[in-house]
Amino acid sequence: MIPVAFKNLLHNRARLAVALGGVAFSVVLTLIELGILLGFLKNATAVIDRTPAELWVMAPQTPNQDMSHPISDRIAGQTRSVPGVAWAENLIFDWGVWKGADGRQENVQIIGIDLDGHIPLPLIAEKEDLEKLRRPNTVLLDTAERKRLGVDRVGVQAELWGRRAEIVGFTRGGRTFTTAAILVAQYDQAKEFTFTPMGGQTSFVQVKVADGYRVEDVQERLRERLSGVEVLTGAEFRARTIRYWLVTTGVGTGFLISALMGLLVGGAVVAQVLYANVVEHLKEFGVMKALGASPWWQTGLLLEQAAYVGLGGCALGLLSSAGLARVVEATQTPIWMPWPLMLCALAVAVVICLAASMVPAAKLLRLEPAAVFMS
Amino acid sequence: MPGALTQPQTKLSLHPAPRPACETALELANVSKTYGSGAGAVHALRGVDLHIGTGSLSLIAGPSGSGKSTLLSVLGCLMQPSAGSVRVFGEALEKRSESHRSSVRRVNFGFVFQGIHLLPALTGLENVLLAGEIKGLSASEEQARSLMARVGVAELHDRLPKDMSGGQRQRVAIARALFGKPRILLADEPTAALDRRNAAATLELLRELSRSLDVAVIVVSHDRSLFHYADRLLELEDGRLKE
Repeated sequence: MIPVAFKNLLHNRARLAVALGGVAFSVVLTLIELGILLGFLKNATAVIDRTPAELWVMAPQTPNQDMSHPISDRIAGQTRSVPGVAWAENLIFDWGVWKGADGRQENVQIIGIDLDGHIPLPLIAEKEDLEKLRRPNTVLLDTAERKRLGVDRVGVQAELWGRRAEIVGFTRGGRTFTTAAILVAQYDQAKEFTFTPMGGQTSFVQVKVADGYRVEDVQERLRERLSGVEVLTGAEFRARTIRYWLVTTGVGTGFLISALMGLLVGGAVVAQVLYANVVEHLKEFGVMKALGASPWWQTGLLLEQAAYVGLGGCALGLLSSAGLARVVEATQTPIWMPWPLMLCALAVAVVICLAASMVPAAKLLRLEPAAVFMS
Repeated sequence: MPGALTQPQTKLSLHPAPRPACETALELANVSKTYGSGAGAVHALRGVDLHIGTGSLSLIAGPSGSGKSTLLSVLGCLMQPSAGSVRVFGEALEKRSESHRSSVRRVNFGFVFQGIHLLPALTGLENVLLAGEIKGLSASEEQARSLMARVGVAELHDRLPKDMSGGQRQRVAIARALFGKPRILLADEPTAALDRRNAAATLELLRELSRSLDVAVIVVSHDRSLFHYADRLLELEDGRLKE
């Protein structure tokens, strides 16, 4: 079998380069857009994902993990009395204002946990640093935000909502959708740092279900027993958080439209290149038709060309995206490109290229073979 | 010498079992073709009757606009006549579908075009083989090489069309047209892009092929100096055919 499609493409290398570049650009644009979106969403649910608790108790209609409303901290005690609850603990996750010694002010997010409780810190921290939090007016800062807050070492002091706070260590992996710096404090201490008055209140109660109990059953019991709060599974809270950022804020729509535009640009470039190739060689295609080439044969030829362009462009695009992702990461912008995303981008780009080949195919199928005698 | 045609080096029999001479290949009965309608209608063909047998070269001459291209398109089943009947080896095609006519084209016809139209990305051999692939034949490279040798361009098998002279390209196009052993070869101004010497050599080749391969060769040309190569000379004027 003669590799007509492949040779046709290689014959005009400048045009092939434009087509490959167009698809590669399209794939890069799509992957980076979606990668950043996924990176933000991964951060948006980081606290939910990293906790072993299966159920979350929160104020009704809490839209996401970053925007909690205070609930009574006595709810934790009520929760523990429900059969099937292994443990239930309060978690502060609220906002504060950082005022550094150099005068800079930043909104920060404050996590407050019971250092003797069951809930592990949803960030990475050294055990000895956590122990230092038992001292009054102490916090840990996520290492990624040191530069932003002007903290170059342990021992730096600042004000949090008018109270003195000393950095006694650093955590890692503390990112949220809002990209605000995260500070960790001992539970009661955290209440004093937040700008929402938290006396006798908490942000969430996290619940671990005892062995032998179904999560849904315990959730149902808690809903019956607790009033004025909402009880969600981790998966439900995660889905609500993602839905909030994707749909309610319109951020997701914006990213998805940009990604779609990227794919359409690639499709348009491929359609244009293949169309130009058909127009340039219309007589030759007419000859093939006169020789008896079936519509399937001709369409197959264009589909094959589109597949080559799609796969080649995608390969270039994937390589470029991987490189560009490192540059993006270096700017502290969250980006996450798991392999299923790359596979999806490849599949969608190839499908769009194949669809784009239908534009010149339509012209080819309308071509009258007698036209070759009419010139 | 670049641009010159070489005479065939070998003469291979491409048809193991010779066909009976002068079998009727094409029959046109009272064929008309009209473009448009009403006062602006153009009558390209008017009541054309024609019988063409295998093993001969027929040359259709006529001035520009006389309907030569239309006649060739109708003869090659590329276009349906407005009226009249077209038979290919006895089979009437006027009521058959485009896909059937396409299959009749694949089996029976070879085409040589004025513009030659070899695929520029393919070598000479690949251009010949492509015809077989399009016709759904098991494209034998040996057969393609034999055909190229038969028309005197054996050495051009790995050369791209841009590296061939006009005469060489036309010979490759003739080899392409003959792939799959068509019984009818239609050639539209096959010498238009060639110098006198190459034009004469091409007509000589077509005449020789018509006899040795028992093919009905129909050539459209307005070049009077080539008329003496024809076994049969037909003149088309204002859509009417005269012998």
